[in-house]
Amino acid sequence: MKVNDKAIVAFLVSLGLFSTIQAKQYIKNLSTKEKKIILSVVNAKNKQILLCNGVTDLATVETKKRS
Amino acid sequence: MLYKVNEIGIVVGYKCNFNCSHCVTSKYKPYRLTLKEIQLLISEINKHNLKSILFVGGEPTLYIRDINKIISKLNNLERKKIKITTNGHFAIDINSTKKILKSFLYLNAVQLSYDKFHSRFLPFKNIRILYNVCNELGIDFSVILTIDSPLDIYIAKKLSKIGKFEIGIQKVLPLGKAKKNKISYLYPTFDKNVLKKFCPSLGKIKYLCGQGFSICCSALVYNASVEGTVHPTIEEHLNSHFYKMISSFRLSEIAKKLKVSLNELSPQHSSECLLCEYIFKNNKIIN
Repeated sequence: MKVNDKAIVAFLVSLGLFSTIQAKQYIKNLSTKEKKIILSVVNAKNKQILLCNGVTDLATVETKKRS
Repeated sequence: MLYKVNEIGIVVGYKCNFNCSHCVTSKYKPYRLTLKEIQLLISEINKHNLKSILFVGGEPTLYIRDINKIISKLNNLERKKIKITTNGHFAIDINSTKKILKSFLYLNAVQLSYDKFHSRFLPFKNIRILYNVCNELGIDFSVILTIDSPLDIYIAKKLSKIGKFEIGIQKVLPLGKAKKNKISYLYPTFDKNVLKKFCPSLGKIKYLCGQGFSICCSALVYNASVEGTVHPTIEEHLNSHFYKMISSFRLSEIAKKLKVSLNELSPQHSSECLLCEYIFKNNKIIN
């Protein structure tokens, strides 16, 4: 796996969007352009982005902070 | 383990001036809080000394009078956090934004619901106006960004250029209009780790106007309408078989107790809420 792919996987997992296995599977189907889109956010090192607690309209941003 | 409930989310009504394709509400329900419900909510919030109150809808700013009736009667208001989740429709200019936010008797935090679906209705420049006004009024500002694909995360980067505030990521679940429009966050494979998880809403409770209290704010109450999951008071809910089960056991343990086979799960059941719906939908929970 390329370094950029690893960075995307780590990012998606850290946000709680996928498990590691899912993230690895997901990036297999991404185009170079799509990878660039995600990488641009990874590289922005955006500490403001947090994972909500997975529920619907009661989501609050303070529930689960990114480490 | 029984969790102490600290936060309540109140659906004050279902009216909304946007028409988003990913909304959890499938169609407009004519409910809004009745006077009896408002009195019940005041009494329940005070009785259980709930610290955090989140008003949602529909669009909560269309129900400010009802919200103020509740806020005005709460004990220890200065020690509570009063929040709204809004679509930001009023942030057309500084004056109208101030007018709406100041019309709440007490407000600590504004969560703007913004994503590619809302962007059809809310110009991006209005977010900056809302952010600036919140800052000026000393109100916490954050954004809930709902995504149906990880690619939507680019919106967070765009948002972060406005200022320094938190952006919470939330996945679209196939509920209400989203289900009807076949919009959902897609998982490539099933993640078995979900089986070890608890309900993500522990510590919170929801009041759905016209219905009652429930820990569930997701698939069980929106899609499945499972009997025994909504109750007329917080106490009745906390003492219900459903709540005791959901707050004490992991999803796999609940499935085992209800004798639900987990052999045919799809990638979508990687979501706790959809797995929970799968487990409960064919079971009647009698108290």
